[in-house]
Amino acid sequence: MIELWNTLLLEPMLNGLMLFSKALWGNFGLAIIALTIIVNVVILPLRLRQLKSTKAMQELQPKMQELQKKYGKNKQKLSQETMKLYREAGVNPLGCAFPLFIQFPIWIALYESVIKALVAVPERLLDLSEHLYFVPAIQQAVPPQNHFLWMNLAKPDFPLALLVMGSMWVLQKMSTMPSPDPKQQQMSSLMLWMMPLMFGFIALSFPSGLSLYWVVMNLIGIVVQYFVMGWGGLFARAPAGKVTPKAKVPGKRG
Amino acid sequence: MVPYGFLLTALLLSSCVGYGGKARPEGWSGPVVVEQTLYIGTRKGKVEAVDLSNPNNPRIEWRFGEKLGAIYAAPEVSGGTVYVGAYNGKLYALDAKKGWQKWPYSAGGPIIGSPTVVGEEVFFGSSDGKLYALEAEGGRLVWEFDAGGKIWCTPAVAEGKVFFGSLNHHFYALEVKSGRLVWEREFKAAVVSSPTVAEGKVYVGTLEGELYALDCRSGQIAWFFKAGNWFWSRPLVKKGTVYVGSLDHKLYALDAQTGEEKWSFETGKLIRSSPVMASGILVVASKDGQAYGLDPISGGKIWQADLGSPILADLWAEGGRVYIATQDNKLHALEAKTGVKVWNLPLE
Repeated sequence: MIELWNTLLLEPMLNGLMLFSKALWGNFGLAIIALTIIVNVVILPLRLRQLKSTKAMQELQPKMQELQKKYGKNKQKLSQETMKLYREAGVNPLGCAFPLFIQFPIWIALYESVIKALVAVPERLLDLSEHLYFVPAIQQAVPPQNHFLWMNLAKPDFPLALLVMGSMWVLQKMSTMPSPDPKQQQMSSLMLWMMPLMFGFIALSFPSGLSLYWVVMNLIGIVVQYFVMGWGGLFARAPAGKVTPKAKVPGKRG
Repeated sequence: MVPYGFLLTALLLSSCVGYGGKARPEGWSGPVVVEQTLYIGTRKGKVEAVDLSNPNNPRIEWRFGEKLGAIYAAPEVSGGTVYVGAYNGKLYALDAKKGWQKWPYSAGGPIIGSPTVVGEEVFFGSSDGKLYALEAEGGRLVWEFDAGGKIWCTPAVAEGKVFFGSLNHHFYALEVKSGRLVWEREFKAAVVSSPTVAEGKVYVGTLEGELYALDCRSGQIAWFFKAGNWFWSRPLVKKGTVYVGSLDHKLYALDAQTGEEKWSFETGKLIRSSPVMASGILVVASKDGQAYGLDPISGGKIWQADLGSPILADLWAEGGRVYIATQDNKLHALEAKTGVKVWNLPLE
């Protein structure tokens, strides 16, 4: 299984990264940016499909809430009516999940190839040798130059960790629409801060080459999200009138 | 938009199976035997001296355990002093009898290769891109040469020159006395393997899988040989033959004059360690955890010994035995003629 993973996903990306590094004047930072952009362009149709499904689901939310109010106590009826609503609107509830699962291994392989290519210790270089194609241009790019702008890509970098957090927060905020349901809104607010903080913390202990990959991923995500769904929840506020006094939403006085 | 929950999970899982971003140096120091004492850097970053006076019952004599980080190269022993370079960027001079520290010297980056002692000076390279020449006695700097790229190899000193390669694709010959550049040659790929000097030629491998024979005086290429993967092993030159292991899993025997391949022997995994000759047997070890005893003329396998853990460290031959350090932090002694395992010793 691991060999299949290496052959089909990891090694093509890793070797692509080394080739880009060679082609871009030995600049490994530019190679990470270039490969991340190309991989994202390749999987763009899947992303668009996923976003359109998400958008369609969001548009059905008011009708879903009406159904919930109407059949909330009868689970079977609610389920039947919900499926009927999906059918009539031509929406597949799994439409968001399927493209996501296809993209997932590609992102992980890209992450893994960035980590593998950043030769921090001799063991890593030895390990790298077992995954590279024996092509002169690739062999000549070893080891990649770790310096990019002010950073050593093999070491953590504080400003880049802040960029990871900031860009992730913006993307999360754009993707999250305010919900009239206080519980859901509270959960969204929590995730909005939790994920960027966790990734920021990880970025501070991992090589900054990985942070660079995350920042580029987030920026591409922001651009794609903007063109498909606009600013989304970035400038939106939770509908205050719907928040019950008991369920406090962070940042709001209840 | 982006499944961060999934990414986070995968990140944590991949960290668990060793693909995480944090890289911990472990080292692969080999042993050195001088006057019935074996010196070695352990996988836990310590230096140990093992008393071999009782051939069947090795005994730890002393242990030096400052925070060295990791040790990748075998110690060098000369004039009652053990010199060892560490990943923490320091070169240590230790008393060979007692293990106490005589002096340390701080370089600007991790030290991966062994130091080389010639006369009253000790030469070593560092990941800060510099080659240093120190007084062997007191550790004072005599000269330094900035190559501008990481130096991971053990320098070779011969014919009044210091030879070494760098990860910046260059190979250098410096004057021993002054550190002045005599000649340099640019290769297409990085150099991590240590050079060997024999009969007016310096032999060195690159990360493009090419082994070069260069003229010591001019740096002109006499010949080169192309293997199927990188060279990280130090070549061994004996009786007109160059023996060198490659990461393509093979040990090559090449004609020292022409570079023509005489034979090759394939192991199960990559060969990082350097081969040795003992009791007329050529011994090579591989990452597959096996040591192989070969006929140096034909390349035929005479014996094979399973040591149960990857072997990356250079081997040492002494008194009809071969000493091999494995990555599970054990030291093994084998009879060179038969491959019979005499003992193994867990290291600290």
